[in-house]
Parts: sequence; structure tokens; C-alpha cells
Amino acid sequence: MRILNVDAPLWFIQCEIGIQLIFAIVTLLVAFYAYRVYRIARQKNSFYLGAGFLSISIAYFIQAFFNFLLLRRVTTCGFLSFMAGHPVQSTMTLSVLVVFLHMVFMVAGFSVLSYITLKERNIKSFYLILALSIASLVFAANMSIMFYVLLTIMLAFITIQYSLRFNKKPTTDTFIVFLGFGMVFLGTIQLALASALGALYVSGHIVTLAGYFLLLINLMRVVRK
Amino acid sequence: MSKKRGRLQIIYDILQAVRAKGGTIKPTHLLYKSNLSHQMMGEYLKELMGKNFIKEEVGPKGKSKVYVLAPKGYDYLTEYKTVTRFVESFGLEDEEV
Repeated sequence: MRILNVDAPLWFIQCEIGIQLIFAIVTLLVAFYAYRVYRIARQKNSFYLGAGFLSISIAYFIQAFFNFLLLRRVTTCGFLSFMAGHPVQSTMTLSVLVVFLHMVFMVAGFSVLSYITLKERNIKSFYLILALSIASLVFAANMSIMFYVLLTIMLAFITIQYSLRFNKKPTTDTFIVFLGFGMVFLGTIQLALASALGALYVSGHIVTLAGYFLLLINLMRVVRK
Repeated sequence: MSKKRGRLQIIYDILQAVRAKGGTIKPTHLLYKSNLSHQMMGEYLKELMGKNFIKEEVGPKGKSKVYVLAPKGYDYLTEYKTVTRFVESFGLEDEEV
């Protein structure tokens, strides 16, 4: 399942599923820890961070799971019919549905992360960001391009906010988080441009992976007593 | 000029003051130790009781009320450093007071 029509190398297909699973696990770990912090401190922002990363994690799990099914040549129509209780016409229909779900969860997750980087937080502004993002996605002439445009804007915003934060509080932790989101941003740009150059599809995944690993490293540094 | 305390720090200071008194403290002592105005203190106490960090109980003589540190309050004190590091690294702080 690819969002854009990309001519990626064959050897990368299996790696791709593994990388998507790592994305899903890393983001789930951040979500889990943010929720733990919320449970201890009852701090709403930690809850939002957890919800954002959980949404991103679900998006990656959906993507990895569906790619795995395609790779194993499972009759996906039958699978969905079983799950949903009504027949689905073709694998194509299922692919469109899965891509859409992936996009919605990703956009929702990064909307939450964009929201929590705002200095003045108001839950109404979050609803506005989320509604505008989903509406832009649903009514776009080309959903794939709109998805990457939204993601790039949100990640650029998040990266800038964390760079400003690093300037204000120059610690190793804030630097790692800034660098992590910066690499996820750069990786996303490469993935967006991958339809023009297939090699960017591979490098985009690797750079994004490095970004998520940096967020995981920060998490491990924080958790370590 | 001293640095402004964040919300998490103020909560820590309040809970730490209760723990330092053996887990039970009188309102007047808490007000003195927490270095907050009466109004701010009232707001924080309401929040801390809502979050089950402390409980309000009747004192030993049955007249004055006391605040007792609850298990969740002890958890907060134990995990405080990790929580603040996590919150600071992801920029999740609330407004400072």
C-alpha cells in the first residue's frame, strides 16, 4: 500500500513493512509513556501528546498490516468482508479505504502534535485545525498530494516550534526532540517527492526512521533513572 | 529576581510540604510552606483533591481540618523528576505562576 505511485526497488518491499512496524512501535512507546505521565501528574498536555502519538501509531500499524497482507497474498476482500460483515467489491476498494484510514489517523495525530506546540492552547483551536485538515483531505482533487502538503506544513510548524524551544531552553533533551521532528519532517518531504525519484522513497523511510529513533532515544534518556 | 515556578513545581512543593510533616499537615502550615497566596492555595488544594493527590480530613482533636497525602500524591513525588524531564523535552509545560 503506497500513498503515491512510486517506483521503489523490489528489495525494499519487505524492509518497508519492517520500518513501518518500527514507526508504529516507537510512536506507541511515546504514546504509552505520555499516558503514564498523564496518569501520574494528571497533566492534560501529556494526555494530548499521548493521543497524538497513538493516532500516528495506529496509522502506521494499519499501513504495515495491510502491506503484510498484500505481500502474503491473502484474499483481503474476504478478510474485510469477515471483519465488516458485508462484501467489498475488490482489493482496490479495500486499498483506497485503508489508504484513507491511514491518512486520517496520520493527519489527526500530527494535528494534535501541532496543537500542543502552540503557546496559547485552546481546545477550540484544536478542533478547528482538525476539522480543516480532514475537510481538506476529504474534498481534495488529489488526496495523496493534499495528504503530503498537510503533513509537510504541520511537521514544518512543529519543527520550527521545537527549534525555538531549543533556543530558549538549550538542553540535550530539547535538542534531540527538535532534531527528531526535523528528521521526520525531512523524511516526509522526501516521501512526498518520491513519485518523481524512486530512490527518495528509500531515503525518505530511512531519514524518518532516524527521526523516530531520536524521539525514542530521548524517551529512554528521560525514563532512565 | 527568583525564577517563576511552573505548575508542576508548585504541586511538587505543596506535596513535599505535606510529606515533610509526616504525610499530614494543617492548612495554615501548608499556606506558609507553599509560598502561595490564600486564593492560589485554595485553587491548588481543590485541584489536588480532585486529582486524589491529597485528602481533607478532620484533625486529631476533631475540630480543625488537616490535609493528608494520598498514595497518588506519593507516586507524584517519586516520579516528579522523570515527569518534569518528559514534559520539558516535549514542551508540554502549563503556564508559569
